[in-house]
Amino acid sequence: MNVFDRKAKRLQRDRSTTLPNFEESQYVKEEIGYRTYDRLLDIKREFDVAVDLGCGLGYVSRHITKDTAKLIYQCEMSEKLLKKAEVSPEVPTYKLIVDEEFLPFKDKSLDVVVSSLSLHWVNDLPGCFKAVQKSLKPDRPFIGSMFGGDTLFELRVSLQLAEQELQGGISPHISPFTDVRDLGNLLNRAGFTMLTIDVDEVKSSYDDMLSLMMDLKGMGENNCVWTRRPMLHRNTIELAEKKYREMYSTEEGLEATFQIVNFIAWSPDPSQPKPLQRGSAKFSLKDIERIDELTKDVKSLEEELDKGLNPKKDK
Amino acid sequence: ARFSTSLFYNTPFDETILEVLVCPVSKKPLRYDKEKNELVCEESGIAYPIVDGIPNLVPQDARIINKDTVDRNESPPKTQNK
Repeated sequence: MNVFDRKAKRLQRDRSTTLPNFEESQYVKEEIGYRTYDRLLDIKREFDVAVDLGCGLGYVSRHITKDTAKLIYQCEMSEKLLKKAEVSPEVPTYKLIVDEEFLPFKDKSLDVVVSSLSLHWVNDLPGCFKAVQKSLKPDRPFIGSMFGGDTLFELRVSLQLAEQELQGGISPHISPFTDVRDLGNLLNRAGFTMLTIDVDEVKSSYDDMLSLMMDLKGMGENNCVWTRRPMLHRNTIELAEKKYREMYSTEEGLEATFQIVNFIAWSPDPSQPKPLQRGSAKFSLKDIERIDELTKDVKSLEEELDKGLNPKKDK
Repeated sequence: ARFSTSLFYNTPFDETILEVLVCPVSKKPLRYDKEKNELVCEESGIAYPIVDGIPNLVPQDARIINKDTVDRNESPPKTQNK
C-alpha cells in the first residue's frame, strides 16, 4: 500500500531549489540536522564508512569531521538538491542519487547510517529499515530523526475545521506522520536492537499561515500524499487562517510545532548486552523481605551471571 | 563559507566506490562502463546513468539493456526521464 507519491516528492524537492525563499526556509532541517550530528558524536567511535540517507543539503554530513568518519556517502533522491548539498570540509564525500526505498549498498558494508528528516516520506518504512539493517555491519548504529505525529498539528486542525465547515468534508493536507510507538516497533521488527527513542519539539512563529506554507514548500515538504487535493479554495484558506489565529496565536505570531522523533538503533551482534532468558532468575520477588540474607551469597551469583551474559569477552 | 560544495566532488567517476555499491534491485555487484559512463548490473540487465560524476541509482531512471543483442549500442530507449 502506497501512501506517498514519491515521484511528486522528488519533483517537489527539485523545484524547491529554484524558489526565492529556498535558502532561508531550511532552518528546521539545519537545526535538526545539527542535533542529529550531535548525537552521532555521543558514540565514541571512529567510523570507516558513513551514509547520510536523504541528506538534502547535507544537513548532517556537512558537520562530520575526520575524527568521526573516514568516508561519507551522501544519498538523496533529488538530483538538484544533492548537487547543492554541502559536504564536509575534511572527509572525502561521494554523492549518490538514491531512492530511500531502494538502497544500493552491499550487505554488511556500512559503519553508520544517519538520516535526518527524510524518512517520513518513505512508503515502505519496514522495508527501508530492514535494508538499512542489512547493509550495516554487526553492532553498528543507525541514527535518525523523523517528524512525529504532532508535527504541524495547528495547521492540520485549522485546515480540517475550515474544510469541514465550508466543504463538508476533509482531505489530507498534512501528511500522516509516524508515531513514536510505531517507530519503536518498526525498528525492532527490522532486527535492530538497543533502541533509544526520544521526542523533541521545535516551535516556530509565523506572521500568517501562508508564510508558513511557503516555508514548508521551500523545505521541499509540500504535500505528496496520493489522495491529496490539488487545490485549496481561497475561502478555505481565509477561514483556516482565522481559526489558526484564534486557536494558536502567540505574541510572536502564529505558532507551528515540529515534533521530532530521534532514534538510535543498533544492528544486532552477539557481543551486545541482552535480557536474560525468561525463568532464569535466581531469586523470587516473594523473598524480597529476606533480601539481607540473600545478598550474602550474591557475589558468587554475580560472577556466574557474568559468565552467562557474556560468553565471549566484553567489548 | 565554512562548508564547501565542490572540494571532494566526485568528478570524474571514482571506481573505488563500487566496493560498497550494489544494484538496488538485484543486490548484485555493478560494473563501470567507461564508454557509456554507466553502472551496469549484468544480473538484471539494467544500467544506471552517471550524471556529472554522481551515479543515479534510482531504479526508475535506469536503462534496460537488451540482454539478447550482442551489440549493446543499439539498446532500446527505455529511459523515461533522464
